[in-house]
Amino acid sequence: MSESDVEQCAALVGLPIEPESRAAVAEILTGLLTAARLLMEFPLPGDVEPAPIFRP
Amino acid sequence: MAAALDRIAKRDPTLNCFTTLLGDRALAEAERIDRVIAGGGDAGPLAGVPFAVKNLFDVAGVTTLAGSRIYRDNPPAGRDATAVAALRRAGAVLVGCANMDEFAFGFTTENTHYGPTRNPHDPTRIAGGSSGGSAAAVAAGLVALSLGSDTNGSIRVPAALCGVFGLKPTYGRVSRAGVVLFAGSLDHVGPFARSVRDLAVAFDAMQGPDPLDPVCAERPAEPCAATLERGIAGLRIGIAGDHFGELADPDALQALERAARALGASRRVVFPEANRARFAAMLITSSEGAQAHLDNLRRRAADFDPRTRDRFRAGALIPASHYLHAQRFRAWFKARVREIFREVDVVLTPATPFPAPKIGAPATTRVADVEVPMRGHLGVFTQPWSFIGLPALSAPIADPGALPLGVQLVAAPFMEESLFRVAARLEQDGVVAAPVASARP
Repeated sequence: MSESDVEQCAALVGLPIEPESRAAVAEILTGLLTAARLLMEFPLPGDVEPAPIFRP
Repeated sequence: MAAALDRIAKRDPTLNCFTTLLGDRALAEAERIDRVIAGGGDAGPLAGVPFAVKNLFDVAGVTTLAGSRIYRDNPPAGRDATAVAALRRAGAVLVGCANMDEFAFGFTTENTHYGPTRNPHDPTRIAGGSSGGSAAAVAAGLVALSLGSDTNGSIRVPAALCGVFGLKPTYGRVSRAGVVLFAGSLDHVGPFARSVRDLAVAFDAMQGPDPLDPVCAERPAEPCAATLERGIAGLRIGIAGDHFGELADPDALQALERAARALGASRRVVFPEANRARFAAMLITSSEGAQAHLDNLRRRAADFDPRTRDRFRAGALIPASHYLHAQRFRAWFKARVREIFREVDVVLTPATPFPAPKIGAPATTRVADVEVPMRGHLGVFTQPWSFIGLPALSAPIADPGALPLGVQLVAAPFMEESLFRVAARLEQDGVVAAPVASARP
């Protein structure tokens, strides 16, 4: 995750991030995406869903 | 009440537990309660007990800061949060609002706007967070009770580091109405105290349905204070293995073993994929937290605490697919853990992997020869449980050495009673205790 990646992703969500902060955001996001990769590697059964519950 | 306010005046300039003090209101309320008692009335189970609330709880007439500079511009709250109102109905007297990490995003209460809260056992160290002011105020004897919130460990971590009892109830057990949320699908509120009985009485005063909180359970209150004498007969108590016995200082593991021995617990219980549960909790927290503050991140980024700003921004950039996978993993993990809790009633873990670090400590530390983030790692043993809403109680080990350490008790959803019975036994046997932290020169 580069500073340029952060700039482009932030533009997609309409979040201005000043150039001097992009390296710090990139480092934190890299950590989160590493955690996400380890999570996504775990094979979940197809029928698992978060299941919101509604009652009358 | 005057004595409590005197203690605050003496010690809080050093400890920095409070961001707002309500001394005059507290004295007037205490006088009102005195009149009720003098007139033969029932002033409630917590009559005259001074308490504090993390400054993300609404208090009528006070601006709810949530540890931020941005919310300083908001008008005062029009009414008390449901949990605050419940404690006041029980007779407790609110004396002030307590410091926290900005928007509850942290485990340290090193707040740049309001200064760090200092640990009453060693003022050069953190109190833990994000409910650090609430925990430290109880530890120092400034108040007998306080309220905090817990998304990943923000009650249990500061309770352990400050040497007090802290309860994170089951998700939905205590109303969050009138509380600034951090990550709504993970947020809980709960009490701190210096005895199991005080903790139970406070919990009992607050638990139960509330239509003002959309996730508050409809399950009726199940009071715990009356069950403390029941003992632990019939309760199956285990020790969480694998993840919960790794990456911790020997002292933290020894504290756990001490509690386990006292309870006669030796069975190791393995919870699969606890580390991935932690990763999933991080992703959900970061995504939901960023979403909650996205508008201010766009308009007023410079007013955020530098300790939270870039973490919120990174959270805003997590792909939706990752967030949703984390939520699906949550359903899977919840089902596996539910199966395990059919075989065991209460599980023990260390509350934190090490005692309170120094304020301003480096970003990383070494534990069991592995480099870990100093601050984030504080939640390594608390996050997997809040992730699936289980009730968990942090109890301070008696005579831990130089700094407090906690043991965490975990049960199946809505089984707080089991936690309280085990904590009461440990307290009766002198294994856990929360004496007032005395001032040091």
